[in-house]
Amino acid sequence: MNIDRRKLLSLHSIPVFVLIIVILAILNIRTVFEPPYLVEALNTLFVGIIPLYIAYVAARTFKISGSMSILLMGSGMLVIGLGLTASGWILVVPGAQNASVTLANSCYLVGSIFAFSAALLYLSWPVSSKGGRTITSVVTIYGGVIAFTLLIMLTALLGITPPFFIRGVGPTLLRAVVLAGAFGFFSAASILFLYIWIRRQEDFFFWYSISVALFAICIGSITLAAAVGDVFSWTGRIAQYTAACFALAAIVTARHNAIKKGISLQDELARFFSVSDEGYKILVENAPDGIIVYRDNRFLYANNTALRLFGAETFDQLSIHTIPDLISSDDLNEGGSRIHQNRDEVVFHGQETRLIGLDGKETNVAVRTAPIEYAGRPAVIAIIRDITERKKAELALQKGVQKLDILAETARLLLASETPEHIVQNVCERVMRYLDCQIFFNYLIEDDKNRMRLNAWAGISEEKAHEIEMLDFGVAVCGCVGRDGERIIAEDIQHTPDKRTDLVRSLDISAYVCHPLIYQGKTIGTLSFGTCSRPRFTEEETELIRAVTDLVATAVARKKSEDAVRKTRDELDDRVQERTAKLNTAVKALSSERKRLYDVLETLPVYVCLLTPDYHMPFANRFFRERFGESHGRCCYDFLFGRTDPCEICDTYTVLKTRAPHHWEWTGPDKRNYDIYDFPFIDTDGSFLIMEMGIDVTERRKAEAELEKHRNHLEDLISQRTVELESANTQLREEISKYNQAKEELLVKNEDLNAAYEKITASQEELQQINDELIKSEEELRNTSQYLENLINYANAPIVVWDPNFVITRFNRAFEELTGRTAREIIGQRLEVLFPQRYLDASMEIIRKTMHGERLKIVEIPILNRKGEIRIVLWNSATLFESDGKTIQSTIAQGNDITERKLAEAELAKRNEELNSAIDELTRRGDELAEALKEREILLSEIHHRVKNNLTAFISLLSLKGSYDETPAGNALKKDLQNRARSMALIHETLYRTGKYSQVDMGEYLSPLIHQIALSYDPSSMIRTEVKADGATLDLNRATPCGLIVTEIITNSFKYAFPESFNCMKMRSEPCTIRVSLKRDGEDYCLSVSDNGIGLPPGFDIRTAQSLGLRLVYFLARHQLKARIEVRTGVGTEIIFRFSDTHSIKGIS
Amino acid sequence: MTAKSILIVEDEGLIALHLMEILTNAGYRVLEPLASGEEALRHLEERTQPDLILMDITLDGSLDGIETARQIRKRYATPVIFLTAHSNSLITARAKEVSPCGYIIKPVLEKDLLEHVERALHV
Repeated sequence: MNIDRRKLLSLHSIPVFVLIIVILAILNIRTVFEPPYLVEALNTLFVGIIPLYIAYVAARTFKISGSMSILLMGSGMLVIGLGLTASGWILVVPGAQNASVTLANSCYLVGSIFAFSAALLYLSWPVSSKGGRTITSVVTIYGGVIAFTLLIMLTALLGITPPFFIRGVGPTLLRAVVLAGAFGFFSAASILFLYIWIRRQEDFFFWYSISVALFAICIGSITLAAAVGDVFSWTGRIAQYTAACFALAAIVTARHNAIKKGISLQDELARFFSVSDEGYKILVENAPDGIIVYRDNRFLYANNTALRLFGAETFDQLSIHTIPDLISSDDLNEGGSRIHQNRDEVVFHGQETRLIGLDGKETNVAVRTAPIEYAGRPAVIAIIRDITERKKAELALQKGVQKLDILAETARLLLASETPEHIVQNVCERVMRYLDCQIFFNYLIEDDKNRMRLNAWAGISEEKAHEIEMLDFGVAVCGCVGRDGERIIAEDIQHTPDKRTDLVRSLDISAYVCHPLIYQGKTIGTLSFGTCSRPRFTEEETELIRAVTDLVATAVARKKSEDAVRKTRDELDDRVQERTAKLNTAVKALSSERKRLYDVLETLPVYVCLLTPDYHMPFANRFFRERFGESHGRCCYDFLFGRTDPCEICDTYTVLKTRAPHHWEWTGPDKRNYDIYDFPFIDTDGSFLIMEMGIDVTERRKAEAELEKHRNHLEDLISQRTVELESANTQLREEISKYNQAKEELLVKNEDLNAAYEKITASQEELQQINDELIKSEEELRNTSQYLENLINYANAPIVVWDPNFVITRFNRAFEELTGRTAREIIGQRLEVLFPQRYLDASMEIIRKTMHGERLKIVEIPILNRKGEIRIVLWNSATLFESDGKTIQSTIAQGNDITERKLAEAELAKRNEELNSAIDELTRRGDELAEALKEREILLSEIHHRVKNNLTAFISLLSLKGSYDETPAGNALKKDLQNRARSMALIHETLYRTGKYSQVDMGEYLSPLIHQIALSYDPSSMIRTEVKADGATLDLNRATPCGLIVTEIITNSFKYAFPESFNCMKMRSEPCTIRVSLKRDGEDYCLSVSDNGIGLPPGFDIRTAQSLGLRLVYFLARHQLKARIEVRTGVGTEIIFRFSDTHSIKGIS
Repeated sequence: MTAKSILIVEDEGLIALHLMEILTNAGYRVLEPLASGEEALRHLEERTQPDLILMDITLDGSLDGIETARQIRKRYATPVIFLTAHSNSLITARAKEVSPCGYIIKPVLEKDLLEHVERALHV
């Protein structure tokens, strides 16, 4: 209620009159004062003219508003005005006092009934506010009132009516009843009008309520009057004159308001009564939206909400202003588009604008206007909705989005940067501006030192930054956080005596948050923000700082890990290259050595081969191949002898059992004899082989056999000749004896002597013959020895012969080549000259055994040649005996120089060892490289996981109550945003889930994406979804726009393709279905998104579509995929995108 | 007076669309965005010259934004503003060699973008 001083004073009039009446009643003053014509004049002036004027105004207002309430009020005033004026003038008629009283009191009763009816009707009788009524209603009612007044007056004058006043007796009971009724109706009407004023706050009703109340007091006072003109009569008259004045005040107040608004009095009153229909009024007054009616930019009506929006307490305060006065000048039409002023009339087009209230407060509102007819004239009604909260929510959402933008961009910048520690400056300055902070510090812990270095900062001078560049653990807030790894939030710093905050306090900071940079449980630095604009950060702000800190920690740690990996990789590459070079050199040398070895093996006059335990022959030298042919993968017994089983007599595989060298003799398939040496051999792959060397000793055996044969023959011959010689000698001795006997006999007998001489001569001839034979035999023997000498001299194998004193007696050419010494130099020297000094004793020890008849069999004895080189020789020996077979004549030894083979074997072993070592090193480096790659993959997986989590957090944020306007439009916007973010989050989830970081498996990606969108728009799964994209993979640069395109199109399908009235089974003979497929089509990819719904509206063109979703589809397809778009509308809708499969190479932009 | 025309060379579709909206709302005539340096050079050769080019540094194709701007500078007088997420000194130094009219770090704020564009067009 708005009660000003005037109203308060006016209200006092009621108790004042009551008090006067009480006092008069107590004092019982009965003075009568009734001068002639005074009452008539006063009645005519106050309760005649004024009520009649009001009745006139009411009649005109009724014409405009059609309100029966105003007409009843006017009727009440009319009957009072007519009745009281007439009753005053009747008094001049002698004896007409009863008629006067009857007329006055009857009019009071009728007038009070009209007043009460008007108030009651106003509150309870809904009347259409459209248009006014015809004059007929006025004439009928007002005519009735006039007729009634005249009728009462005439009947009273004629004495027909029951008496109200009897001279000498005073008022009758009837008068008392009539006046009591009038008093009751006036009192009730007064209370109702006061109630109406309280409800409407229209001053008209306040003044009218006072007026009616004073009429009631007037009735009460004149009831007590004992005579016309006594003090009670005059008190009542004054009260009714005052009542008439208040009634006039009500009209004047309305007129004053009308003048201020520039409207007529009738319009103003019509406004009170045309909206007086309580049903509408309550509805309108209590409407949550502001409702105003205006014409020519002037307010005609405003409900409570509108008053509050305009900052007015009463309509009167508002009505003196025009509409343009209360609208933000920025929104008024000056080339803008929101509001147009059309012929001095503000017309809103349903847009948002800002109201400037009378209290100066600015309110965001959405306004809708419509033309109406108000009080019989054209006007404008405006519905004003307060959208301040929605704006706040939008602002909060915008801020949230901005925050997420900052986080997402921060993550992108940090993770994309090669030098994230440099990006921190830029990123933190953005966060600082967003949080309205004035400083930030980023410290990084120096490795293995208990201190930190200032990496980035803002809000302090260079000198100050230099001063605090290095910070020990435990010093200031950052030092404590760096040491403890725990966040510190300092609030109201200027009033907190915490020593740790001395530094930031000196910078006028009042709130400060310092977060540790933690990666994999290890603190690597700190990030802190401070503000001097408020004493503390909100929880949301500290969460943002924490999120930024986590991103910075991840990026910096990632960079460090990458540097370490890169460094390790570079070192590894260098070492691999170095090792590879060495290995190549070694392999080359080995290859060369092998070739040399193979060449040696190939040119050896002996056969060399390798045999596997399963009788296969992986290697055989040329000698072997020429003798026995190629094995062609067959077993040795097969290709050599055509057998199916191993040979029973083969000694080769003895080595397999003994793992020791074995020597034996073998007759090959070529029927030649071979001296076989088998050695255990480990191949490069570790497998066990047998290396066999065979020396063709057939010729040697033949020579030896021949030699043996000749020797035996010689010995036989010598024995024979010796026997013959001995026999001849014996015979000769006998002959000589005989000769001597004969000579003696000759001497005795001369003749016998001659004969005997002749016989002797004959014997001599025979002896000569024998001697010749002996010479011949000696010659033959000499020839045989020469052959043997040549055989020894020209044998390929080195042969040496020594006598029992170890003096060398034979030294063949092969031995000369071996030692570089000539036979002439050596023969006659002791055997020791052949051996190196350090092997001398051991060698002679072996040699001495031959003196006991032992034979050397494959014994290694080193030989020293002229150049001082040591040659390794395998020895075999045989002992030659004298003819007695016991006395050792000499020892012959045959050698085989295996120095080159030994060297080759040693070199091969050495190379094998180096090769194995290099392989081991390579394997180890490969393991390290694999480990580093694994770490990198884990890091990449972690990055994608974090990006996905941030997007998921954004989706969750959108779901929070208050993050969006909870209207159908707000919910739709939320769903769209969530699905767009979800499509991007799923990309990253697919990457780390599949472990492929450069290619997105679109089958893995699209199925969950479409499932999630289906859940958000079709939770009851009424619409079937089909996805076919198995085997299709796209790079990240194409997968992201593909995901967004699919999201937008199927969102449209869910929203619009299947309205409730559309029956898929009936129209399409199949359930409602949305299909997505991605497949190769020749050189292109073909992405198809379709539904079997109602199809697109006629004239649809995706190129000119205005919705954000379809604009995104068209733009992404054209701009990023370079796709050709085809829209098919046969059965439902199908949109096909064809794009090249050429992968673009793209970095981070 | 006709609106100034601006060519956007940006390979990320959403960013290109966002830039296009900001500039269109600000009253500029925005040509259809391009995604690679090769497309930009072809456009300049075959069509009318824009009043300003907004050039992302990392682009699809073999030419990056800096190299594209270098070739544009050799043949035309069209001013170029770089857009990039990079802020390291090496890339900044490379970008300065081609004397751009501006260098905007992503994410782009509407106010920053319009100030740079306004300044570049007046220069």
